[in-house]
Amino acid sequence: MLTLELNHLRKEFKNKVAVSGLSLKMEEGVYGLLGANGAGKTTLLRMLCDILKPTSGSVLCNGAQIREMGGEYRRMLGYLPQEFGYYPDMKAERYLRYLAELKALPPELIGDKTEELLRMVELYEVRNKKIKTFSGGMLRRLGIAQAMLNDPEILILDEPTAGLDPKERIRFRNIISSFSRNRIVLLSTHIVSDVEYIADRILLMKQGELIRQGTLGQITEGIRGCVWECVAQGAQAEELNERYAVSNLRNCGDKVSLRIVAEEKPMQEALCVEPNLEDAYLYYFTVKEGVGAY
Amino acid sequence: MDDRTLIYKIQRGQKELLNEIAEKYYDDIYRFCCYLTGQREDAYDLAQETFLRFIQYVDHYRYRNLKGYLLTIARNLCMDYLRQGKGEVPTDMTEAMPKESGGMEERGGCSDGISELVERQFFLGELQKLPRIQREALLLYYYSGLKIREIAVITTVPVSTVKSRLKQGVEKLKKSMEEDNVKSKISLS
Amino acid sequence: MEKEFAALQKGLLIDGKKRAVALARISKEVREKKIRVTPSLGHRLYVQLHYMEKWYLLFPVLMAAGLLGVVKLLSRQEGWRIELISLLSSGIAFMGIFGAISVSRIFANHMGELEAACFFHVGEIVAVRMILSGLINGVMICVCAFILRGWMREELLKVLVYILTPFLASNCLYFALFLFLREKNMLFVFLAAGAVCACLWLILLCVPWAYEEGMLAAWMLLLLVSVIVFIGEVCLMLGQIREGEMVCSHWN
Repeated sequence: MLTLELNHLRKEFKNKVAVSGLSLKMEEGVYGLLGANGAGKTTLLRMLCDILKPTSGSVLCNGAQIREMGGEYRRMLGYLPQEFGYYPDMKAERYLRYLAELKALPPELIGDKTEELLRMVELYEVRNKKIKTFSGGMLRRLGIAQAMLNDPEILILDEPTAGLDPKERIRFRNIISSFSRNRIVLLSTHIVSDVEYIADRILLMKQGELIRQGTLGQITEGIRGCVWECVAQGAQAEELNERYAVSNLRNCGDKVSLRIVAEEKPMQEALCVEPNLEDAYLYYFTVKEGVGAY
Repeated sequence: MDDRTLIYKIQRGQKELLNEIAEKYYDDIYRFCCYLTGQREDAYDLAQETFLRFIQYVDHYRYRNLKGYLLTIARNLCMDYLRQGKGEVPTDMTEAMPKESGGMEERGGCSDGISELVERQFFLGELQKLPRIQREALLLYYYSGLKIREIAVITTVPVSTVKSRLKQGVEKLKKSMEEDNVKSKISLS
Repeated sequence: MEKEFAALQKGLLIDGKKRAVALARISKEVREKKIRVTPSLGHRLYVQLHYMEKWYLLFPVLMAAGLLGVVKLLSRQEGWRIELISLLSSGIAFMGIFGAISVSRIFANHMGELEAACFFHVGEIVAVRMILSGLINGVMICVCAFILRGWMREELLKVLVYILTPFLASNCLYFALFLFLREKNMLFVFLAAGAVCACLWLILLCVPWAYEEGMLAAWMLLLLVSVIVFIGEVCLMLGQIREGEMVCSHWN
């Protein structure tokens, strides 16, 4: 059973603490890491990939320190950075082959694996085009392909669906779902729907700390009774919008339908409704500081 | 494909060729485990475990003598097995006569006559009486065809020790065979 | 004994079913097996050579050839001796930028972060590129020194010191810039630095006594200092790469 254990992981930079004393135990499955910009998600991911040295604390893979394992740990890893690098004048297939060599793939497998992944992300037709000609979505798909070259046991993806259209996003979700058996997949994203359908566990990160973790059900259960739907008109709607965290706002003729996240009932006629992950995100990152974990 | 080429290709990614190695050497390894431990049934597991270990180690294996390497693994597994006190009583190595129905259930054996079978049976029995370190040396030398130097490496003892184990083993075996031969002739008459 | 043991080869029926079960289990293990390859240093050198842009290995060769051509032409002039060394060493000082550029390209394209998460770590990639660059530059320097020694009828060691010192001292500057500046596009920085270094070493054209016998000790001292500083910079760079901040391109 593959395990990744984070023990009081901390990263300080000159002017801020990006990750503060984070502890977590991960086993096989898909983890969705949600948090705003500046929450420390990318720093956390970089420490997990053995790119950044922690200020204190450690990451253990099956009980061994990843800093000491070095290449043997990175052999198990697939990583897609938020801003992933490429040589602009390199052709897509050559780029994947190069990375396959860096990941020490057995030579006999490189050709087949490259082709398989290019087909999977629907870039096979453009495999001989220079990467600088690719659109944002194509770049992202290429990035996903390179992350999976070595069939990693641990797959870490930072904003993987940025720039993908809805169809590509769904396709990506399906790829990850089928890939995640017997592996650890960690998805860091702003996009709640990326994570809502495929994550086994959700991690909410704010200002370098893990403020909440659990299954989708556990996270949303935590804010039961805090999500309201109501209909208001004109000035009242505006006032509500300003006063409360609104997760959805829709115009219906001359009225406005609002979905509000708040601890108290926003107006007399408001109905309490079933919370979803987006509501939870809004609650923990706007309405309240959450403490504790499941 | 020879062993060197097989290993070369496996280490470059063609892992399916590991099945070819198993297919090629399973019988030899099984028999070796069987003769060394004296246990027909457990020898299947020991032989299987030999190949499972080999698969684990194959990434770093530097080709020299593949059969010798497999025998090293098998020998170590058998020794651990015997050290645990298993295999105290050698199982019956009686071979059934080849089935006339021609069923494909068994492998090996041959259509030798009964007297050859009896002789083999007798020899196996005598072999099981030897101390295990002598039995091991004899099997590695005479049965598996390894050189004394190679046996010394596998068993982690000096060459002189291997030679003396072989010598003592052969002497004891011959003596034991003579004595038991005489006894069986007396009992038959 | 051989006869009895030979007979054992044929003996002992093996249960086909049990054998098949064992082989099936082995087959399952093979399916789940992931072959782990550890590429040799030679292979790593080959990979970089095969996939990286070739221009920064070619440019030093072309430059060295060009410099030698110019120096040859000028050597026909009467009284041009010291000037030849000064010219050549100035050009070779500039040549040092190609090694620095090849390393900085990894970071300029944000490949550093990605390569830091690979088995073949970005620190190793940097080291390999520096080895390749160093080899080419080293060979070019030796060829130039050898040829120049012939033309000038000077000791090989002396000529080597006169050429190697500007090269290494300039490289100290290039790598210092790389370590402390971290601009997105270092190409223009290096080109400017290379031009500055080339000009500085050309100043020796006006200082003929710099190449006199008595000054050789000073040259060797400068060479030694350059070597120490350069090694220090390389260690610092590799250390910073391992720490990680250097390779990360994007900060929130």
